[in-house]
Parts: sequence; C-alpha cells; structure tokens
Amino acid sequence: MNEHPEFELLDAYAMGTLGEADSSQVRAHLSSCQGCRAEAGELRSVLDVLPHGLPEVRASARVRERIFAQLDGPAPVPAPRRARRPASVAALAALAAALVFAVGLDLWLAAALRRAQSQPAAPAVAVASPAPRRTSPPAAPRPAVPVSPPRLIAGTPAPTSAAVAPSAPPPADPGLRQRVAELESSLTRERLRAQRDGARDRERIELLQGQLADADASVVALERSRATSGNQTPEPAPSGVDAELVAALSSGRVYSVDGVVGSEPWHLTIVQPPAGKDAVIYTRTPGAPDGDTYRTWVVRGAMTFDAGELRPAAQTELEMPMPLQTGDQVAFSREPVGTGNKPTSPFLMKVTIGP
Amino acid sequence: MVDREKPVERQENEIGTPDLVLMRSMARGERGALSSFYERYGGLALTLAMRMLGDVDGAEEAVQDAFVAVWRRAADFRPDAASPRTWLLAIVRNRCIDELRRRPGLGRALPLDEAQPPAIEGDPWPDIWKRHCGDALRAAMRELPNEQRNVIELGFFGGLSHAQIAERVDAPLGTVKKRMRTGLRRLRLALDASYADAMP
Repeated sequence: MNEHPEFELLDAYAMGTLGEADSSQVRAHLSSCQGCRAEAGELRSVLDVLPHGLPEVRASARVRERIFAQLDGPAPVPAPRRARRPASVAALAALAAALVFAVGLDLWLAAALRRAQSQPAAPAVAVASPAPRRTSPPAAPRPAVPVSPPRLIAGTPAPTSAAVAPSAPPPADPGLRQRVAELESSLTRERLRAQRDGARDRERIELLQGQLADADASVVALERSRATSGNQTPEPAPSGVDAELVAALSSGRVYSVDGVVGSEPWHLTIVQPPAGKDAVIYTRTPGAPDGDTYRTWVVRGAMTFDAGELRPAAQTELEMPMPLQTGDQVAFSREPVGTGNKPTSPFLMKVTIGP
Repeated sequence: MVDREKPVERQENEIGTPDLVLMRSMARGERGALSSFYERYGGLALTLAMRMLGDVDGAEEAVQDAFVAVWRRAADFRPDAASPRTWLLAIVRNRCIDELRRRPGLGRALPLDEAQPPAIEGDPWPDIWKRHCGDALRAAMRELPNEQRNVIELGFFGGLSHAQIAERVDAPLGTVKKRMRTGLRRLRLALDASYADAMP
C-alpha cells in the first residue's frame, strides 16, 4: 500500500476490527509513513482511554491465582474452558431492569463480580441471594498519579432496584455525607503524597539497576570487541556519532533514558565525550502532532536554553548549546514549528544530570 | 548519575516502575514484574472484558488468557509499536471479540455516558481516581451526537466491523464510516481540550 489509507481503514486498524489482509497492508504502510503512523497513534490514544469511562471493576485475586497457576503448569496449555454459568433468575431480572431503564447495567456487572468474588471458586450455579456487604476494606490496588488534583465526587445514590444493588446503603444525611467526602478527600491527598514519594524511590532504584545492566552489557561488548580485534582484520575506525559513543563509553559518560509520551515511546542517549560537544541522541522519537513539533531544552537554574527541534526521523542528534554540568536538566516540550526562544508548554520529560 | 522525572503524559496508572521496565523484567522471567503489571492493569482489563462480554466467567477467562499471553510473549514486545498497556488491552479485546463471535447474536454496548460508577465501598481511592479520570471522557462522549457515539461503542466494545455496524443500525456503510470518522475526531479534540485544561 503506497497511497495513504483512508481514515476508516486507520480507525478499523486501530480498533482491531480490520481483516488480516487489510491489516497487513496498513501495517506495511505505517512502517514507512510517519504521518499516518502519527495519525494511527493518535487514534489509538483516543481509543485507549475509552475503558476509563466505565465504572471500575477491581482486579480479581482469583484470576491472579489462576494466571500464576497456569505459569506453574508443566506446559503452556490454556486453562480449561469451564461451562458457562447459567444466569440466575435474579441476575436476569437485574439485566432486564437495566436494559429497560438504560442505566445501571455496569453497576449490576460490578455487583455481580463482587458477588462472584465472595463465593467459593467456580461454583456450578450462581447464587441468587446477595452477598453480605464487606465489613473490612478490600486490598487496595496500587493507586495512580493524577495529572491534576483528584476531585472527590460524593457518592451518588445507587439505583433503587433491590435486584440490581441489594447491598446499596440507605441514603445518608447530606451534611454527614459532605463531611465524609471531605475526610476522604483529605485522606486521599495524604496517601497520594506518601505513595508518590515511595514510588519515586522505587523508580530511581529500578532506573539505576537498568543503567547498571546496560553498562555491564556495554563492557561485555567492548571486551568482546577487543578480544576479536587482535585476531581479525581491524574494523574501520568509527566516525561521527559512533566515535563519540565509543569515546564516551570509555569515559563512562553515556546515559540512556526512555519513556512514553501519550502512547508513543521515546528513547534518548545523553553523550558527554571527553572531547567535543555534549549531545543528545534520540534513537526513538515520538511522533510530532499535526502542526507541532517537539523541542529540546537545557535548563540551568532559572535560565532555559534552546537545544533544537526533534526531526521526524528515526534518529535525531542534537549538540548541546553548552557543556552539561551537574544539576542541568535536559527536557523536551511540544511546540509550534519554527519557534524556539522559550518553551510555551509544560515539559513532557526532564532528565537531571547528577554528579 | 541520572535522575529522571516522570513525563507529564505518562500513563496515569503508571506509578512506580515504568511499564517498559516491567516488560523487560517479564522477558527475563521475573514473576514479580508480572504481578506488578497485573496489579496495575488487572482491574482495567477486567473492566473492559466485563463491558464487552457481560458475564464474569467469560471476562475472567479473557483477562487470564491475556496476561498469560503477555508473560509468554514479553520478549517479543516491540515498544515502538504500542505501549504495554495498549498491547494488553488489545489482547483482551481480541480475546473478547473472538468470544463474541462464537456466541449467537452480537455483543452489546450500552452508551458510555450512562454507565454509573459503583458506590464507594471500603478504600475510596480507586473509585475516586476512576471517576476523576472517567469524568472528562464521559463528558466528551455526552457531547457527541447519539449516532456517532453509538458507532464508536459498537466498534470498540462490541468488536463489530463497519459493515456489521451498518447492519446493526440499519444505515448505509458510507454513513457509518462518516459517523465513526467524525465522532472519533470530535472525541479527540474534546479530550485534547480537557487535557489542556488539566495542565498546570
């Protein structure tokens, strides 16, 4: 497929409902077309958030056990398909009520899941009677970092159908509910702060471990190269970026960092060679949004220096406007094409150079 | 030494170890990484599967299959193709679509903005976050005309092709494609605006 695919092909591809033949053609085109790849990526990023509009269902501890039990099996045999549980009369009544009123099905599903999780594993027939309300909090899933302070929404009364939500609490006093909401909001903020601090520590440790592994791999590669170079025809001396990388590797000043912007992964390498200019090499560049681009900056104290625009290419090398030093930050942000004096939008990534 | 701060547009559930690091760890056979990945996305995967299939057993089987597939294929994961979360959800959706196609009749998809969040029970944090995160999306979906919203939901949650949607809603295929295109573009614009408002 040399021509750009129509939008409906891209959206079907992103949704996964395209036939295999068409999918292969679209995939082949995307591999060589930056614009369509960016379009498909944006489509996918929209579709990616659709599940967040659904009411939350907690992760099932039973499923976790089954996953690990399957891993422990002697061979990768799929879990046996169990006979589908026939729906109970109460469940069908709940479903009918939800369909009639066009609301509450998801609540019913959530309630059904809670009932199922409170039952012994894999019962033959669903129990029609409602499960008792939990008296102790469930195991807390790992919380998330919001992009803005979370807003507490006071619990709206559940639908009154006894079949749909048999365990729904009675309506609470409005003043009391507001007080509870305030306390929950306060508790949430404190918890978020503590968890964010802990998460940063864990992330830093993981990052250091990753860098250590990368450094080990580099040492092994260099040793292997030295061992073979004595017996074989010497390789041509590396030049350009390769020369800088080899020189910098020998001095230990190469940093490898990766991450994700939206659904687009990026990867950069900061090179500080013994001689020559410091550079940032993007070996995986996030797709530039329509009309915009990504621009790299060096932040030193209160000053911000333009380090250049990321080109929509597989690899972009940017020489730093000055030697990087401890405390400097390398960052990139989304900017209109052609601008470059000051960042006009928040940084999407920042890397701080340590001692 | 490098101290990396989290990108602003990081996956909102991606607190702690980045997903890509978890994928590398899984590729090395570290089960703790799979456990963390499940803890992070097990609820979201089950939410999606429940919505598509409408029954607990089928949804749990789809989620189980998907996580086992992620574990076994972690070494083949290509970060340039999709994020780990997108990859996982795509596997869940494919499992669900397969299951829907085995069943008589077609999958159902109720309007997203009519989905009611469950009452707060026990630990309030997940519900609060989910509601916060879902608010912008539900608002954006509410702004869409019914026919555009309907085709998006039938495609995404129902796993239907354009032709199947056209048959379901009794509309010409070209009309369905146009509704899908317009709806997705409006949804993207609305979400972009919502995200810009949320930025500090």
